[in-house]
Amino acid sequence: MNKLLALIKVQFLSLFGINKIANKKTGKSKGLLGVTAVALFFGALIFGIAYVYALGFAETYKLMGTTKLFLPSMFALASVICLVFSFYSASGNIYLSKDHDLLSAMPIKTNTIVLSKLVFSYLADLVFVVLVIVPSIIVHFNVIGTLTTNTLIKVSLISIFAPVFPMIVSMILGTLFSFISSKFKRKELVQSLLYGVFFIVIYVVAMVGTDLTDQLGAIRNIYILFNLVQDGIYQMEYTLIFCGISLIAFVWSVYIVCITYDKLNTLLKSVKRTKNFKLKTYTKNSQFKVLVQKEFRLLFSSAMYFMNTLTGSVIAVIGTVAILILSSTLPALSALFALLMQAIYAFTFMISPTTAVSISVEGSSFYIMRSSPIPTKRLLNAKLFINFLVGVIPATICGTAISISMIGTANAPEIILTFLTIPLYSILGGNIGLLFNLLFPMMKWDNIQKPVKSSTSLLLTMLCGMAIAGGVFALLYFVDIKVWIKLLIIFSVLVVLSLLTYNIIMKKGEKWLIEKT
Amino acid sequence: MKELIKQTGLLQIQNLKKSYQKGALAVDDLSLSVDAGEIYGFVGHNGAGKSTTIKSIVGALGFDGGDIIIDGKSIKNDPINAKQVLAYVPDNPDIYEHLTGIQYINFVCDIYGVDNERNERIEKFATEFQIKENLGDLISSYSHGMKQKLVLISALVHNPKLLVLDEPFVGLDPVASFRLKEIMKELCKNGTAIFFSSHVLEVVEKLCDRVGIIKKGKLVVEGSMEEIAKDKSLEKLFLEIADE
Repeated sequence: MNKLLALIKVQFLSLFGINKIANKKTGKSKGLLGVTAVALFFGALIFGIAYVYALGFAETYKLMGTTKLFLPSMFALASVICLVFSFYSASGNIYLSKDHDLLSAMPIKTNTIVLSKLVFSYLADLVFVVLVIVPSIIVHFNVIGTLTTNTLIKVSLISIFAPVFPMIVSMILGTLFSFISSKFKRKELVQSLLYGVFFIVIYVVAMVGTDLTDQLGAIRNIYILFNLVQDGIYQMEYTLIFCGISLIAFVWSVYIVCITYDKLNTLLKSVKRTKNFKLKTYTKNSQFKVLVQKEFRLLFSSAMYFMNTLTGSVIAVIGTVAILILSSTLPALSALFALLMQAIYAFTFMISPTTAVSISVEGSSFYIMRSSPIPTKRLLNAKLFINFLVGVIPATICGTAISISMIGTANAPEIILTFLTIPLYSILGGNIGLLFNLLFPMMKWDNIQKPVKSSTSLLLTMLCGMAIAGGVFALLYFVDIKVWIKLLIIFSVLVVLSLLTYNIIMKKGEKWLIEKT
Repeated sequence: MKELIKQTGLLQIQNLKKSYQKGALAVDDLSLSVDAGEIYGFVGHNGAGKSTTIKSIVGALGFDGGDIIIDGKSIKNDPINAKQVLAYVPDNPDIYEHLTGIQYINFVCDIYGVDNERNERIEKFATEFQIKENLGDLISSYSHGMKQKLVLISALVHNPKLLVLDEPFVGLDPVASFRLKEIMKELCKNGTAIFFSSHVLEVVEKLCDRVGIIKKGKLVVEGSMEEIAKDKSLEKLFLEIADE
């Protein structure tokens, strides 16, 4: 037990740089205060978003007269969140972790090592469940009615075991994907593609038998334990069945991971060698082209980097398709739908551009850029160009599609401004991301998860994106002026901010790059 | 302000100063020069300032005072042209693991604008270092020594005027070590200046035309082996300086 606790403690200390800050010679209290403030802020943000979501669900179920579906739906939502966030744990945290060799050489049983990683993953997921279920309970009290002590006990028990199934699913799939990708030379690329396919499959499964407005139906489709959880909330015997099944499943999955752990780690470390390699004739390329190629390969070399940055574009494209379908059934409302999409595009294209971490992901190999005869502006433009390829181009396609759908229901200025505005969200998002990454690079990391998922530059870029999306939403829905004027304001602000941020990057980028990296 | 020491030489370090936090000087008013065709060995204890000096030379680290001139170009004021003629081999070969060996070499060649004789040079050095058949594999599959060899190849392939190496022999097998020494001598005959740091003092003694010993950020001894060590070994001299 001591070894298990020691392993869990070591993982905890690596979170958010806590141990680094706690052992700083100066600025310790300031650093700890900062980390606490950020953690509280994001906790509050998730709590707030969950509360708003819960409110929407509760009101809908109340209208439909099916309030008993509310809490199970929130458990389903929490499970989906756990699934998404714990999906990457299998590779990089459980398998092929940086400490694998070190721990394997120590007198620690494999199942202790595996259990420590799974327990840590479970605890992280439990935080998400708490952040979703607690506001849901508050909403239940306010909107639907009080919950008895008995029901609260059942809800608490289910909450404790709720992270287990999504964790098992993500672990099994992560193990499976790791195994499949281990057969290929480009392991990371294959993993990225498998994750992409998985999320598309999830989406398709969610939509079976539902339409695009039926979010509740979609969630029930994904969460196969919905009925058991529903019964469990109101009947103790089903609560115990749920907890029992979860416990057995957890023990079984730990067993499976333990028995495959060493073999799979070895497989993942094994290399597919190129047979009979022959030197080809290569022609010279420009510096800019090779820099872009390098950035592109880096993007696809990490499933985490790939998924994190491309998810926004994928969601935007899926949303566009959904709106086009809705517009075809309700053509009179297509202009309104297009307006609704403005805030969504602002959100999806701005919260995770590639540039937000494109300097950080260079990590310890960044000296290559620093010591090479590459003008800094060219290097930064190459990074912006990648965002252009994976963000601005999809944004332009979305903008074109949405604008065309508005023909006949909106005037020419509205259509033109819609078309021009949407790609600007991605351009501005890319500039803001690079700006923050220049100011707050994270060059020292041992797992790419750290810069890609929890770096300061990424968090600030997300906040900025959310703020701009919020501003767009507020302008469109709460300000009473003509639509084309609103769009003109948005367009003008985006153009000015894009030019301003680009100018700052070009003027100050070199200095910040030297000082900060 | 101290007058900058005027020097000649392909590499000129002029009154270099670099401090990290709290004002502690990592490099303190260091000046030296390396001529074309010369091998300069840079030795010192752990934390003496060797890597800081080397990283300042190649532009991977900014510095607080002085200047570094490479082939007449200042690394501070004209960094691109200065870097164009130098090649850097770090002590830790952290390179792009998501590329194959050949992709990495071609990447470096394109950055430096290597056009003519690219394939011949790649073939030559890859054969010399015995990793030609591994060039098609991902760098993530390479051992430390193989990565080190790859970095060396990518440094040599664009024919630099100044070769800067930080602990280049670490991780190399005996054949590769021998080859590297031979290549260094050949490069010097062709006019390349070589500046390298190493803890392997026997190699420094045999290979270098001049040696500089750095201690706590200051250059304490400099000159040819005959000038500085006279009849002593470099190891003995180093230990005497370390004890002072």
